[in-house]
This record gives sequence, C-alpha cells and structure tokens, in this order.
Amino acid sequence: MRSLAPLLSCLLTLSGLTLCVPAATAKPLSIETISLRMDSTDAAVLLRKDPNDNSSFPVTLIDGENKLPGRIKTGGSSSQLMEKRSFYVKLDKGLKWHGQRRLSLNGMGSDPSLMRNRLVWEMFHELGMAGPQTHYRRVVLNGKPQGVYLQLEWIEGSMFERYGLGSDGELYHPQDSNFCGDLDKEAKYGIDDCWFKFSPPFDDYSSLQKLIDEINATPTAEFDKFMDRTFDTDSVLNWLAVNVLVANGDSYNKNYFLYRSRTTGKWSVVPWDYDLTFGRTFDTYLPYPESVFNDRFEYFYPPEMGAYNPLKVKTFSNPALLERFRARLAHLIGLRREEGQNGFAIFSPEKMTARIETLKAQLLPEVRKDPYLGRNLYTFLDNVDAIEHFVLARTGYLKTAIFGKVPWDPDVVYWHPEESPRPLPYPDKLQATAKGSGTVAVVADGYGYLLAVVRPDDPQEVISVAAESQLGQAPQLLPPGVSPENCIQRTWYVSIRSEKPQINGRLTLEYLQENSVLHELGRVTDESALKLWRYEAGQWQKVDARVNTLANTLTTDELLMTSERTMRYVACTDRSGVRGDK
Amino acid sequence: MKVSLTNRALMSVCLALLLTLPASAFASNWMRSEDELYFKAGIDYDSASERWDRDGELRDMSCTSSNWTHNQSYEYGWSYYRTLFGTLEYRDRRCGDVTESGLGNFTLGMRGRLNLYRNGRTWETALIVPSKDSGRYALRLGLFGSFGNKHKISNEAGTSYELGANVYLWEGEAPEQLASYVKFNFAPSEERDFSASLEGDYALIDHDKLKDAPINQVENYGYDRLNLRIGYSQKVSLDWRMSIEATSVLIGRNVSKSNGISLSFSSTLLD
Repeated sequence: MRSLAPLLSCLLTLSGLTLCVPAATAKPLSIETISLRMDSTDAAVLLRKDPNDNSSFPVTLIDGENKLPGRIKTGGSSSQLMEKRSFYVKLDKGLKWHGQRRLSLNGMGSDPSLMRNRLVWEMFHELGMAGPQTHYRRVVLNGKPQGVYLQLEWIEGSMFERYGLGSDGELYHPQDSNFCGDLDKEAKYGIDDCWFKFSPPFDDYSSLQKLIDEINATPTAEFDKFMDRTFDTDSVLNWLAVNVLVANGDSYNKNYFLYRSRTTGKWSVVPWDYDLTFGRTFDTYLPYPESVFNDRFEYFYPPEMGAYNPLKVKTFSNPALLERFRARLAHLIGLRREEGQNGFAIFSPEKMTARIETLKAQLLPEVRKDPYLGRNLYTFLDNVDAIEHFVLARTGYLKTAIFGKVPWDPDVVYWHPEESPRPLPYPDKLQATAKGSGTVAVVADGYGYLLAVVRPDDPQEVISVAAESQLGQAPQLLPPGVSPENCIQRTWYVSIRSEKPQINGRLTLEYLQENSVLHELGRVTDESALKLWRYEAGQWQKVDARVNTLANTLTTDELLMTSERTMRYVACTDRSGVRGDK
Repeated sequence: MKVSLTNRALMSVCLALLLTLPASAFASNWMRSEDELYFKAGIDYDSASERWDRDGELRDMSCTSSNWTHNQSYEYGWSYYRTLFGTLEYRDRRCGDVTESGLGNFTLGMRGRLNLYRNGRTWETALIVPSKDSGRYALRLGLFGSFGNKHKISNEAGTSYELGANVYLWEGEAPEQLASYVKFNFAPSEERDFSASLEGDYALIDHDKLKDAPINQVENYGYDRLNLRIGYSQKVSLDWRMSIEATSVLIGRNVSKSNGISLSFSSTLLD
C-alpha cells in the first residue's frame, strides 16, 4: 500500500499513527438521492421513537417534478435499536419509483462498514443466485441528509421473474422473532407462527408443510436425489457455502426466504440479512442488545455453526451433497475450479481485498458526510479493516478445517457457542511457517488459527515467516514496570528468512476476544490503549502500532526485521487501560 | 396468531360494536403501535364480611358478599399518536338476599402521548356509560407514567415503576373520585413477570357529607380505599399471557374490606 502513497487519503489516528486509505483509485459510486418530505413532527418521531413501535407516517417521495405519496415506517428488527434507523417506504397504490412500490432502505446502523450485505449480495449475484439488487442511496428527509443507505430490492414476484422463476410462485419467510423457521418437523410453534407467507396472499401453508415433512422424512442417504428433485440445489449449496465463508450462523431459523416456482416446480433459497457476519459474534454472556451488538470477533467457528436446520444437516451428512458443497467452497476460495460455475476465487483474500478496498474508497466520501457515521470515521475504517482481516483469517481457517490433513467431519452438525462454553480453542503453544510474497499469512496447521501476517514493503519479495504464539497465558518476559495482568495473555515470536539481510514491512498480530468470557485480555479493559513491545537483542522497544479493537489485531508498519533473528512481541496497557482503575 | 384484518375503518366498526356492551374502568400507561390490537379477558372474584363505614369504623356486614366479574378490555393503535380503548364487564354480585347480575358500565376512551418519543407516559380521557337506567355517566381523565428498563410491550426482562392517577367526574350527585396507583414490576425473563401495586381511591368531597353506601354500590356514593395488588404473569404460548392477581383492601371508608383474586388472559392479536 505504501507504493500507492500519492493516491492515498491519510488520517492522523488518535495514537499518532498515520492511517491511509485509497482516495482516488476507485470509480465513484453512482449514488442516487431519495428525497422524502413529511410532517416535521412525524419526521422527528420517526427518527427518535421507541424502536419497538411499528407505526407508519404519511410521506411523499420527491422525484423531480413528481410527488409520490405513501407511508413510511422504520425497518429492521434488532437494528432498530441503532441510532441510524432503517426505513421502509410503501408508496400508494399504482405508484412506483424505479419500478418499486416498496422501498427497503437499510441504514446499516448495525454494520458500520456499510458493506457486509453488499459484499455478500455481489457474491450471490456472481453465482447466479436469485436475489435482490442493492443500490447505495443518499436519503434526505425534509431537506436534511440522513446519510448513505443500502436499498435492497423488495423480494417479490418481479424479482423471481427476472431469474426465470416466474412471478406467481409461493414465497415464505420465517417469522423473525419466533426463531422457528428451521424446517424441523418438531417446530415449537404452528407453521403460521413460524413462517410468514408473502404470496399468494392466502393462508394455505400446505406446500410448505409438505416440503418440511419430506425434508424430515427423506433418509439422509437419499437426500441428494430428493434435493435435485425438489430444490434448485445450487441455491442451497450457495446459501450454505456463503454462510460458511462469512461465518453466518444467524440464518438457518430466521433469515432466508423460500420460493416455490410454478415455472420450474422447485424450491429455491433466497438468503437474507448479512449485517452480523464477517467475524461479528453473539456474546451469550451479555444481556441483549449487547449480546448482539458488541466488538467481539471470531473467524474460527466451524462450518456447521448456527441453528439446527435439517436442510443444512442432511446436506452436510449426505456424501454426494457434501462433496458438491466442498467443491463449491473450494471453487469460491480459489482452491479448485468447478467447471461451468461462475465466481471462481471470489472469496480469495486477493479478490475480496480488492473489492473491499474499492468499496471503501467509494464509500469514504459518503461516510464523511453521514450525520451518524461521520462523527467517528475510525469506526468505519476499523470495520472495513476487520472484514479484510476476517477474509484472510477465515480462508486460512477453512483450508485447514475443511480441506486440511484431517478431513472435515460434519457429524456434529449443530453447534452454537451459547450451548457449549469452551476453554480456549487451542493449546498453550502453536507454531507454523509460511512462505510467499505479498501478504504472507502464517496459519497453525491443524487448527487454522492465524499466528502472524507479514506484508513486506516490496510485494515481489519472497520471504519465509516462522511464527509461534504462547497462548492464553501471561507473557513470561515483560518490559520493565509492566504488570503481566495488564497485558494481552499471549506472546508472539516472529522470525523472517529472506535473501535480504533486513526486511521492512507491515506486521499484524492478533489476540483472542471471542466473547466477554473467552478472551485473552487479562485485566485490560481499554484495548485501544494497548501498546506493542518488541524484544530484540536483550532490550524492549515500544513499537508504533494500530489497534483494531474489533478485529483484535495490532498492526505495525515498523516491521524492520533482521533476517533469521527471532523477535518477541507483547501487548500491554499502562494503568489507565486496566480493570479497576476507572 | 395473525389476523389478516388491516382495514382500519373495519377495525373501528368492530371496536365500536364491542363497546356497545357495558364496561368497567380500565387504565394503562401504554400506547399501542399503529394497527396493533390488544385483548384481555378475565374473571375477578372478591368477598367481604366486614366494611368500613363512612366514618372509617370497621363493622361486620349483615352478609358476606360474593362478587364475580367477567371483564374484557380492548386496545387498538389508531395511529402513533392515539390509542383507542374500551372495556366491558358482566357482574354477578351477591350478599345475602341482595343479588345483582348483568352488564356493568362500559368505557370508551382515547389515550395519547405525554412524551412524543418514548412510550409509557400517557394521558387518557374516557367516557363511562352505565348499562342500567339507575347508573350514572362519568368522564374519566388520567395521567400515567412508567420508568425503568423494562419494556412492557415486548415483555423483556427488567424492572419498571409505574404510577398514574385518574379523576372520575360523575354525573349528578355522586362525588368526584380520585383513583391513583403506584406499581413495581419485575420480569426475570421474557416469560415471567411479577408485580406489586398500591391503589388508592379518594372521594373528592367533604367527608362529613359522605352518604352511607349500600353494599356493592360504592361508585354512586363516594369512598376511600387503599388496595394492595400482587400479580404474576406467565407467557403461556406464543401469543398469550396468563396473569393471576390477588387483591386486598388494606384500609378504607364507606367501602367493603374485601379480598379478591383474578385470572386473566391477554394477547396482542395484530401487530
């Protein structure tokens, strides 16, 4: 990135470091403005009301000379708790804006990166999945900018028509708050309490009930034949594969649509809601809403993560379908190409980073102007950085977990962190080596955990990196005057072998903070106060480092390593960042 | 349970029809979302063998009263700013040879927000309509508030405090009454909810002028009362909650020293 310096927009961070982002490398996004007019009291209420209230208000969408009246309400479920609200506009009968009567405007209050949903839908579209178009919009309410929104095309017949599935099919969605749209034969509530039928608009759930019965009754050994007969199998495989890639466990009992096409006679899955993905975790030890909206991070949840769903379970348990799933996953992360399938390597770190960096550059001007997000630009930048780190770490993890020496055994197909509090998910010590150029990620074999990431200044330079971590324990050797409890409970050792005697570049180290119980924080409460220390030649040296408190990473641009000399790193706070001092 | 009825006009007609039946007083501090319909039905029983006379002296009654009331309450979110409500009840009151059965008063009212942006702080106005020729009309005006971290509509875990006051302006010679309450609510989970409240009634009249009220007819004569109510509520299905409450009049004037119990079921039919 240093070589792009003239093209970067740089910010001075709180820690005194300079943080740069691409400024002019990406073609600007075409973002249309949606101008809304409504009574000023209604507008104030809409923006500030109790999130549980579902009331609507009169609104007029101004489209040039056209004035399109309708109703507006806040949208989303948990995300309604966010300061930046999502909106749902329903225009009066017969009126449409860009072909849509219903406008779903996602404020992305729960996704400060503004790109999680967008990235996922770009992947699905590249795979040919039926799904909503997404468009970034600027929303202006009574002349006041509300920031950038993501308009998701309303899921309805016209969308399916575009994919050759006809517009007259049956469309279902799990009742979000009841958590029982899992296709299990023993649903905790009745089918009409677990599922909402969007179309046709009558209360006949017999098709869905028949599907649920058949999914549960079909023996696993015959599930591949059942799947091909009943489903658009690719839609299921893509749904599962992308969920596995972005670590989305929040889907299988509430966040997806089922569409039964009368044209093909088959069911399709339409995935939904990816704001809490790419490393976001559910912290079962915290009360709601902190349990959902927190800065914990993981990339090592197993592929079968998430609620029980027989469609998922039987797909993973049927050898033929499992092989197809593995082939799709290998295709997506760039291990093996599937013939005739689009989207090869779309989840490889290289391609994803390029996408993310482009979006970041495109969105940055919008974020600066956003009345909610612009107040803390670093939240956006840290989230974007965390997504990039997640992609790198997740692909490393999946290569080990699914394609490693020990074959993935998805026998335990239902796992959720809240049901099995775990000890630290790795041994006391891990070590590994990696060789390459550009970005060299050292991943612990057999575990899939990232031990170090090195990016030499010269991206052509081939280096070999050996990394070792002492995990879950206080560092044994510390800078003078530093208490071990004030340190991340981990010690990193890194050595680099290169043809050059010295290597400059960037080093990223990570620590664990999966939830409020399972972490390596020791007594550290303010992660942003962490300082990185390097021990070399018998002396400790403080190193300028950026802390990403979401990704749980420390990144320094002062790598400056002598070839084949091992560096020891620890991360500690001074007294102000530890528990008991506030 | 989902009701596909969304036409607001039709909903209003239904509500009006329901409210052509008599009802008793009902008050709440909560606004409903637009188009949300809340329903509650229950049975109350209370009994007394003593009563405080108009001088506050506790005396034996000539009979033991035994009162059953079946009541229904409806609330409907007309808009963000207005919630309509109505109650109706059927009473069976007995004490010795005196028996009174039939429809009681019914109430039709409107609730609005004291705070535009948050729920739980409301004003109310309601018309109480008697079902019998001997009954009296009344206008009820009230203010209510809730505080704390519990959100009543979604029944989240937490605690809350509520307080409120109504003034009853009765037609004719019946004295105006002040009715107030303070309530503590604790929900350890979404499923369960405990509450304790003190309800105070006070006749807004020179108490020397209070006339002795016949048993079971306090509304027309004025009375003072401090009532303790202990409640437990349990989610019994996706849509329904069951509540059980015990009440006891602690002290009073011109009113029975009654103890009672009530059982009710409630549901949000449309949201």
